[in-house]
Amino acid sequence: MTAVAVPLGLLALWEVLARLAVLSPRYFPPPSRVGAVLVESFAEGDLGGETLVTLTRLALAFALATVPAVPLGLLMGMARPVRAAMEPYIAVLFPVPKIALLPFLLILLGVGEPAFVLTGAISAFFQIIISTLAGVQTMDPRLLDVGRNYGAHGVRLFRTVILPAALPAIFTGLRLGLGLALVTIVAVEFIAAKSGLGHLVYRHWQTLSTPQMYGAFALVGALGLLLTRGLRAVQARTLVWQEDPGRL
Amino acid sequence: MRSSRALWVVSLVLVAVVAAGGAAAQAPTVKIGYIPSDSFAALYIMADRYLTPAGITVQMVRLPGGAEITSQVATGQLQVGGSGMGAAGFNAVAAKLPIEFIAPLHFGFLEDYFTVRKAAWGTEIKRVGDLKGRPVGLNTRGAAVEWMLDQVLRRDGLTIKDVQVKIMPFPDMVPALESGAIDAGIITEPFPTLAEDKGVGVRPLTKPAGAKAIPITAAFWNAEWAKGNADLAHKVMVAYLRAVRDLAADGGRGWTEDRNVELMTKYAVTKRELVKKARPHVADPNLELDASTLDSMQKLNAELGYLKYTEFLTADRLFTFTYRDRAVKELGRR
Amino acid sequence: MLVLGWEAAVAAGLLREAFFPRPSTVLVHARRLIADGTLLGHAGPTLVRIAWAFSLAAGLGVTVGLAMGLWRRLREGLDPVFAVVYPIPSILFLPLVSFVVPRGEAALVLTTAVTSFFLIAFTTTEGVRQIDPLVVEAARHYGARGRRLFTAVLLPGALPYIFTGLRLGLGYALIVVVAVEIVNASRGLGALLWLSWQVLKVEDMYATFFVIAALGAVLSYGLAALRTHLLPWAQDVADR
Repeated sequence: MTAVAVPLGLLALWEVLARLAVLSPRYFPPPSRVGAVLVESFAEGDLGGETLVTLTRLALAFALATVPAVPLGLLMGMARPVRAAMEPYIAVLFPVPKIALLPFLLILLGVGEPAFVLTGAISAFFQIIISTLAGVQTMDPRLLDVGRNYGAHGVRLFRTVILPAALPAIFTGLRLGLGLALVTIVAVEFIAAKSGLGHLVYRHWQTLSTPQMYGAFALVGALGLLLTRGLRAVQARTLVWQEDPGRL
Repeated sequence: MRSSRALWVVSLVLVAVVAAGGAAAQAPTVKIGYIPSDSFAALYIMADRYLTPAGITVQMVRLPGGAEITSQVATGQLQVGGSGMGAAGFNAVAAKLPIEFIAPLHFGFLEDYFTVRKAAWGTEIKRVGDLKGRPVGLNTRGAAVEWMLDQVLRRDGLTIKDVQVKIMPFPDMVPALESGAIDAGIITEPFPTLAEDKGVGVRPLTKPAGAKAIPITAAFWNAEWAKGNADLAHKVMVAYLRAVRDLAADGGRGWTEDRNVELMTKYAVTKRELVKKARPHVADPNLELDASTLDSMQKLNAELGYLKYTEFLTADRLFTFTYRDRAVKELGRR
Repeated sequence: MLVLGWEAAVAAGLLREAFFPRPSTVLVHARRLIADGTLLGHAGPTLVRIAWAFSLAAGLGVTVGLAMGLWRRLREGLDPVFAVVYPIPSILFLPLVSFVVPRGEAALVLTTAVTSFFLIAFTTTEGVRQIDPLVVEAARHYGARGRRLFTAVLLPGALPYIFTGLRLGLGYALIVVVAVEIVNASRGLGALLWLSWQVLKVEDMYATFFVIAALGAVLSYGLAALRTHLLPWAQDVADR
């Protein structure tokens, strides 16, 4: 109950202050107005379409990141030469703000979906590969011994021992990666795209159409919340043996 | 050895991506990049009225600004494009990128572009100089609009460094004038007319008698494509010349002619009545331009640190007029 | 190895030089940019913004985090707010912040600080909460109370987590500051990167990128090295 009480309370406070013009209604329109505009934009405008655009980019970016990242991460964890070869590049590129890559991708791929999606994918890629690697590296080595003792080798060892042991970390990596991809894509939309929720926030900001701006803003927040909480629930359910998937 | 193999895979992927970009340029379609505004009318007319009916496949690609169009033409992702003359174009030519400016696209008058917030005009802002420190809208940096703003400001003792530039697309400048997000802007038709219609903007400057229009935008294409498709390039050039002449016809009345307005409405996505009401741009029926503007533009760009070269480009260096000359010869001078 | 391959590819004409300048050219260019003051002129504002934002985020974050760790009521009250606000991409806060605080440095710094603040507060709270209650119990047994309990047991116990949070927070600050500069600044590494792209000064783009990358590496690994130095007993708390 308290979980919703505080946010609702804050919203109520905002509503009152805006209506009383203590808060400038132009810069801080009352939440009721924002809500009304939001509903209207969905029903008559194409807010739904824009949301879909962002979601599509996110899905593509996530898929693009996950498909190479998980196998590569596993490979890095299991084969030392692979790790040795890739580690320097990952170490160097991981702390780089991926948004800084955007202009280069714009040159390479032109201003369009591929550049936007790829930037998001690269963000997620590094997170997923690092988490996957950690999953393999931090697994209890005794599990390996036990597995081998029971005659599992090669693929079988991988499938029955290594993969399940690394799965919690991989899942966490996917969850964090998805969050990162969303953040990056919305940022890219804000800066360079002509569609999508991030762009809507930007455009409405520039034209000071504040109710629309807050609406898009709230939508992004809702999206982020849904995705992170949703994935966390999935993780808790499917990986029942893991104690705490982590609150982030 | 597994480590080097992994590296090879990564490198191959990179090369493949770059190659794909190059391969796209070899497709038979002519991809034309444009910014949705009346100024690019010649491109719309060229594409719809002269190229497509001649059996040449055209794809119009809408992009937000000159730098994007310039870089995509330079990399061959687009074949033809237009943009305000600015640093991106200058630098591209100076860097010997395969991009050729082939002709001016449209001309205009500063007085038709410079729009001030109506609510502020006459009160807070009585003259251009009052814009000091205030927000002014431009659609991009390093392009002709920046130079135009600087020119207007200089008339009253300011420079572009004295105002707070806010970057936003042309359509957004109208609501921005309304809400006060900007106090003035360099806006291209039909949006200033829209602003005047809505009562949110006013264009306070009047043209002096006998004023000459300034070249603002130019058309360019990918040089390698032009060389490898000489016939096609020539056809495009002739089509372009015809399109420009359609606009320049009758002393410039072509800009408000129904069939042309139709195309402007289609691509610039604005209402027909608005386009007809808008102050017409200017086009040169022989695709000639006065080079002195180019010097002034480069000077400002150099001052702002946008240029990567120091010796200014002459018109002949910047433009490749051979195609234009051939087309004009073929159709005859007007 | 990638660098050498790049240099060779451009020399061989495989990669177009105008868009993929040779690493050697970029290096020369970078040196020139440093010499004429451009790079430092832009790196300066970025660093200053990061410093301010991080100080703000760290100071407030650790304080609030500790408070939330110690007082359950506070935690339960603020948790839902955190949960809603945290997933929002930082850059979207720029408009909001610019409404409250007039345009300019303050707005940029505050926006940069937001997500870092949440990160640091959150990890700090976790740091306090994960302290073995037995240890606290034992300390109380030995007479530790209030401030003494705090400085002798709680703070050191939470420190590894706090440090991880600080490290993540600093990394995030860099990410956001670059994005924010792209949108809204005329000086700063992000602004320089974007402007170079707009005027197609490609060598400048690459030079700026490498400076940003170097900054990222220094901030990330620098803080890690500091941690090993100050908290040698702490294991690396895996990024959660």
